[in-house]
Amino acid sequence: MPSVERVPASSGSRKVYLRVFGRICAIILVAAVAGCADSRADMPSSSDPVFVGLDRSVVEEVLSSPVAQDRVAGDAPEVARSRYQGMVRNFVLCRSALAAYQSWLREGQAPPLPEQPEPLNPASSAASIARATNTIESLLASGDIELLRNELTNTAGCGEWIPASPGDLAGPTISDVVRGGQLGKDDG
Amino acid sequence: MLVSRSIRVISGAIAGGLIVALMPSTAFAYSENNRTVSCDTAYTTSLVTLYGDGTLSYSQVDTSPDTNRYAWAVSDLGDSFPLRALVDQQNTKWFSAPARNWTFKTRIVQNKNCNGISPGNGNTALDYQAFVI
Repeated sequence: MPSVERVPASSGSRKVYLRVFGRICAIILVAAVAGCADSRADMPSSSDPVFVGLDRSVVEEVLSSPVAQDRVAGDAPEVARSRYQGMVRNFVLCRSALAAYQSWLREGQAPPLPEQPEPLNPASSAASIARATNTIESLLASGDIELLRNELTNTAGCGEWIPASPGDLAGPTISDVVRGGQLGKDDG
Repeated sequence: MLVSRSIRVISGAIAGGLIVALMPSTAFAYSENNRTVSCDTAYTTSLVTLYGDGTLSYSQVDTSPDTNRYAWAVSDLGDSFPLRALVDQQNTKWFSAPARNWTFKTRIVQNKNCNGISPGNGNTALDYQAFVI
């Protein structure tokens, strides 16, 4: 009778068990990662290339803003980076528009909008900031200060959530200041 | 043969041009989709980004398990329309949107166990429609 070499049953089945166990672990890991895919977006650092050319203090202000963080919640990382760049530029533009509005109130004449900073690496939000800048410029040229006031107090506009004073995240928004009739420049 | 093929190509191009010409000039973007979204208030999902201005419209067609969810839209500059709470078969609109890339987002209103005895609150299957008109 030929001798048959027997592989220990425990060794072979252990390999099978380990393989199955490994696959189950992999499936659980994939499911866990998929489950987290809609969690809060990763925040870029202030030295991220998307912010080159923009004011560092505004970048840090936006990155530390709980409202801004909420606005990127659920975004894919690249979308979040683009939106963060858009928000930094929106902070600068909206505060420029507020300053122009207050100057218009004080002096009775609309000033020109200061030149806006351009990032070295414009994100996909660049087209929207260009449109928003054109809108503010056309409102300043309109001769009707009420139109600019409406823009800055619009429910879905920049004035509704951007703080009027740089770094004052808990302070009044641009919309609050416009509604309050504050003239700026020490409210003289 | 070559001539007839050329005629077909040219007539196809003319027909295509007519179709484009007859399309309304106003911006219109639409998305109908389904996503697995969380039943935990800690998780927000970005559903879809549509470009346009005017009226934004969102419908929570169905969730399974049923959930009461917030919906809102955020522009690529971070400006946002306010949150609206919706149940299945409900629609909401936001008006006077400027021309931006608008991302429709959703989050459950209150934590709900959609997961049975498994850990965490789990997920629900969401069918939705989003428009920019």
